[in-house]
Amino acid sequence: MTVRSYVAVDDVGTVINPMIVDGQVHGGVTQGLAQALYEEAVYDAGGNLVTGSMVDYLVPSAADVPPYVTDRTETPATTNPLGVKGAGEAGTIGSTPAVVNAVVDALRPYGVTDIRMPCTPERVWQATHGDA
Amino acid sequence: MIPPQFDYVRPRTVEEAVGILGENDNAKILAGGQSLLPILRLRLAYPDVVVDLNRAAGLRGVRDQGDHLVIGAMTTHYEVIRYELVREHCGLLAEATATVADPQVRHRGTFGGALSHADPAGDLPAVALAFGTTMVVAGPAGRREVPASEFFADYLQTALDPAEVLVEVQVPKLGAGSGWGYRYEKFQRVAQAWAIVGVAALVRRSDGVIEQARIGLTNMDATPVRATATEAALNNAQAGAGAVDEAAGLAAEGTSPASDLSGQAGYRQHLARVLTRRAVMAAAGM
Repeated sequence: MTVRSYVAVDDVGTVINPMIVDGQVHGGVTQGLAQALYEEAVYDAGGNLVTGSMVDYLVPSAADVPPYVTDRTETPATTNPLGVKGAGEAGTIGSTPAVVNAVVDALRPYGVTDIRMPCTPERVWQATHGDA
Repeated sequence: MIPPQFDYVRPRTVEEAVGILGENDNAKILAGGQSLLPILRLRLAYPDVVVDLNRAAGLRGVRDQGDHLVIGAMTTHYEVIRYELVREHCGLLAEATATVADPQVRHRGTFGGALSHADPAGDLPAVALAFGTTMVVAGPAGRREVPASEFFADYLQTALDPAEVLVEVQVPKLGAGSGWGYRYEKFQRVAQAWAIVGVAALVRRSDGVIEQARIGLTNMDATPVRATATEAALNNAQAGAGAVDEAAGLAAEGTSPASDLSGQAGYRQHLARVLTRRAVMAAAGM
């Protein structure tokens, strides 16, 4: 499963260093995208974590995510003298539902209205072949 | 974790290594260490002695032997990819090796180590099987040759005796110059991950007909396996999407893949069919 493109428009207040803000958005989007498609804490029947290593708990790298397009509006915050707002989690909060909704939308022709996170290729295959 | 305590020896020759292995019934061979060291650190193995082959002479490099290449067991993945001889005559091996893990692992890990470890999820055992390589093995009684079809015995087990060392691998020249096309199709969820399923395809095509196909499957059983039903169906088949579709539909026949975190058996069989179609189409230039 490949995310072909991703556009994020954020308002983080007054921007002092644009490169750092873009970096925060890129990292945040990737973290949210990872929750939507890759990362999962799986437990067995005995309550043991079975995704306890980086081999089993999948964290995407730069090779797994698309080039991001970022843009922003700049509305200074009124509660601090710099006019800045938090930037770190802006990308994260939006990207998980955006990616899952994109998957569900793509599967609409199959009558799929919901799919469990992370949306793994196997879960998509089960959803479209009906033999989960 | 810190590995359990073990003795460490670094023989200068294969014969010396074989001698050490013969004297210790609980020894492990260290090649590139990309599987052994994690195993030791996870305390999944408790060897009394680790025999490091990195200074043993004559185990590295690639040479041309007419109808096949000979690749030293201690040749790293990175070196395998870089050799022009490999790219020219055994392109499938270069292509598949380039998908192994990440650059750091490829600079340390070795061709012979990956084959001897015999992980069915490893990319290179299925490639060796598709090529029909011959493993040259040194032991107390001298050297012997083991065909790939007999080398992979079971999950993480090979035909190597405890006192034997894989020395070199003979890989037939099945490259562009001899009319063979190839493709390694690897399905993984993130870059650097192990293959959930992989398909190594070699196809010889002539005048619109597939003359022969050799297909190895990664992670579809306890050992790498050939997709024999697909190979038979492709024998002298028309080189067209219809025939390839039909043949690829047989790719999972006779396989018993594992069901684990990465995928259930039925899903793996589905992947094998899809990836086989893609690999054969690409290998046949379609």
